[in-house]
Amino acid sequence: MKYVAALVFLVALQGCATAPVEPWDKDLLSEEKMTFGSDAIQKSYEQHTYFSKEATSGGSGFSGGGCGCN
Amino acid sequence: MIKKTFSCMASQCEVLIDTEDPIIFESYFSKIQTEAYRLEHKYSRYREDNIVYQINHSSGNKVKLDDETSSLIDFSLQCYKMSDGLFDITSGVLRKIWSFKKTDQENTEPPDSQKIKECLKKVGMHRIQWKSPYLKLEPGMEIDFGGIVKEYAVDKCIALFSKESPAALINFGGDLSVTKAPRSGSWSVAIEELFNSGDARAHIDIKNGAIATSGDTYRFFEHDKKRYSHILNPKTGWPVSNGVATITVQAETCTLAGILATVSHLQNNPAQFLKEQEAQHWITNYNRPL
Amino acid sequence: MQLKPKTIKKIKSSLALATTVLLTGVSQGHAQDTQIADAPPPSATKWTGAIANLYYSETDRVTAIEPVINLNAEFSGERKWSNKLVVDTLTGASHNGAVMSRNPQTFTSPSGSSNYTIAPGNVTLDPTFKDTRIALSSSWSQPLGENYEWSVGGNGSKEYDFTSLSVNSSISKNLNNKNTKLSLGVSGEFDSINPVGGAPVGLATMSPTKPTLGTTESKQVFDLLLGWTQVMSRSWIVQLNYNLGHSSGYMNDPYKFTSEVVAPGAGNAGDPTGTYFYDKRPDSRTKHALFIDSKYHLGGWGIVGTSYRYFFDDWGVTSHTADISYHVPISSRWYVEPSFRYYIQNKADFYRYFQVQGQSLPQEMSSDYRLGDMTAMTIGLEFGRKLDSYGKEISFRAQLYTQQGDSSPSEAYGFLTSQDLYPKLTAVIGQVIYKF
Repeated sequence: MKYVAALVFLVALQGCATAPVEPWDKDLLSEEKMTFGSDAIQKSYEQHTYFSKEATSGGSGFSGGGCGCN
Repeated sequence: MIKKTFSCMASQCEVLIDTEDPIIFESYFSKIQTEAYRLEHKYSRYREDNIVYQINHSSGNKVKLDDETSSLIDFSLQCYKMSDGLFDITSGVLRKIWSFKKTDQENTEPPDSQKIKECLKKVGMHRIQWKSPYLKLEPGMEIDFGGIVKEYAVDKCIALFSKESPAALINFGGDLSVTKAPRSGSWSVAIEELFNSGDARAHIDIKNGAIATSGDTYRFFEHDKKRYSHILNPKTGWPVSNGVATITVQAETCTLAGILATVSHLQNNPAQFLKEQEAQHWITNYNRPL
Repeated sequence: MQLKPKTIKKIKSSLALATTVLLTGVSQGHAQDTQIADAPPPSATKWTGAIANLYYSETDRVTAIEPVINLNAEFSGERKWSNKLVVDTLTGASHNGAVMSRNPQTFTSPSGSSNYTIAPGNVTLDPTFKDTRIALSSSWSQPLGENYEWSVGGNGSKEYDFTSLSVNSSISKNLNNKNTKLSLGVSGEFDSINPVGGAPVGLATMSPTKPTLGTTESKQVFDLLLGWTQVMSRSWIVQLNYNLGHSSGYMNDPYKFTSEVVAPGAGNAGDPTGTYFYDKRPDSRTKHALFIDSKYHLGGWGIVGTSYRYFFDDWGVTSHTADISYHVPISSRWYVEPSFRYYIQNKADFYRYFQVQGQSLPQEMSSDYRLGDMTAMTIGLEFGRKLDSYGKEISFRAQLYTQQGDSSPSEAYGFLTSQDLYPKLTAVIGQVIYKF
């Protein structure tokens, strides 16, 4: 059931995509905060904290190695 | 008087020096050639190994400029302000959406206003971040020195001569300057555009200063029986339609003459504009088809 | 078409002045320019990085300080080399898995050389918790042909009882005029676990002479990451990731155990018997995570970031994570960014609050609160100031993290019903990042 939901979501997302954005229109998208991967230090702090306190990990990029967090 | 030519900046480059000594001539000529090639290499938009390429592919990152390029940016910014935005070195991207053909070929349709509007978002010196020597363009913007590099090159080559040097005339594809009057009294110059159209005023005698021409008799855009020059207005995104084909201006330096020619070409009434500036000028118009 | 003739500005003299400045100002540089006429433009290596510190402090429990130094070099041709050094110092007390009781409880410390006693009504925390971790990571990324990018990286970390080495690599393709990016990544991690006092045999009972498996255990973790980044419009970009992970080896927590409690019916039903069983988990774990991240630009009104992650694994854990942040520039230099995160998790199949005396032991059992039913919320506020227009910036963030579960689950009986079987965890987090 969960797989079906994910698939439906993916298809819906594809449908939402509009016409390709031209390079000269990417002024807003080129801002630091609009890229995935800005705030890398912040994200790695969060990943480490939540990995140590919760049972879930992963989903966005590779965390830098494991830790014996107790 | 010795004369020699070479090819550079997509133009026929001509050097005349008032001397009979070939060794003296050669020493100046080789320096002029070196300087012309240096500037062509440095500011050509067709190369991938120069500062212009770096700037135009910086993807919104800052670029550190050398002293000369910094001065050119400072100068271009001043001209932009003084001309109320008509002289704009970021307007080069507009050429991507327009195509200008020769007289004997069909013109295509002009680009639709939406496309022009979108392209104009990447035009404008007011959009650049400039804090010498760091330049930062918005992604998609380009700098094109094509509008001034030839005139600037002429002036830089003229600067190779001192007061004691023999008189010289340097002509890069119609943009020319002289150091001083030759022994014969004055330089006799034929303004090619006027010469080709059989205009009697084609010959002029100059003792000092420079001449630069803006426009082209043969390249234009024709739409709805109206002829547009290939000079694009950076504020509207459209070529000018004042019927003027070429404007030739005389001034103290080639760079100044070139800026005046470009800015006046974008005016509704170039003749009146140049008269106000008290600059000697010659204008040719497109012959309207019957 | 003009209605009245505009006054033509006399600009020739000021233009002439500007030209003079241009032509004479540069002539000094002329000599050196001719020398470098044929030299290629300097390939400026761009150095960027960050210095940061994290302060994490749970009420009455663990405190951690984590400074980080990051240094990146961007070479010509969009090739980048990134490096990071992390130092993590941990002190305080960590929950050991035992239930709280109306009577004092005594536990053996992991080393086996000492005991500690928890007074009645206090959360069962192991106060001997102290560790320092150092981690180093390095990665290289570069374009591969016209549309591809490739990266490779490695990490290494070391703490008193744990050593980890990992490598990763990914490749991505740009499509659709750089509006779509597809990526594929893999990573492999090899851990070496050397618990204080040795790794206890799972489900063995706690004693100073606990039976151990040997002194060093190992664990391997493999991950696969599929990503799709899509520009939706001029203001909106979305990323969808699927992560598949598989770990195997020593999966137990060597410092945690489950309390044995007196069976129902007795006068002291629910009281701890004094026997504790060491943590025992399956020796492999397969996990799946589906993650969607979105960033929407509101023009002058800032940027809204939202993300959602759905997770499930073969231990029976399922979780949902939802995150929202709102980045607002409040002047040309300052910005503020409030954020909120909500997390909900279903317990692992083998999670239990306690073991009833007399009942047969299950195959796997853990009372590690991190595997239980819980919800957690984080509320945060960040302030930042741009120090120049080229990326130099300093930011401060404060967060409050609270985690709670079912303090009175239906399994509780007897004296257990008057105990908090899932004590609430609260932590304050402070973060400073200086980017250059």
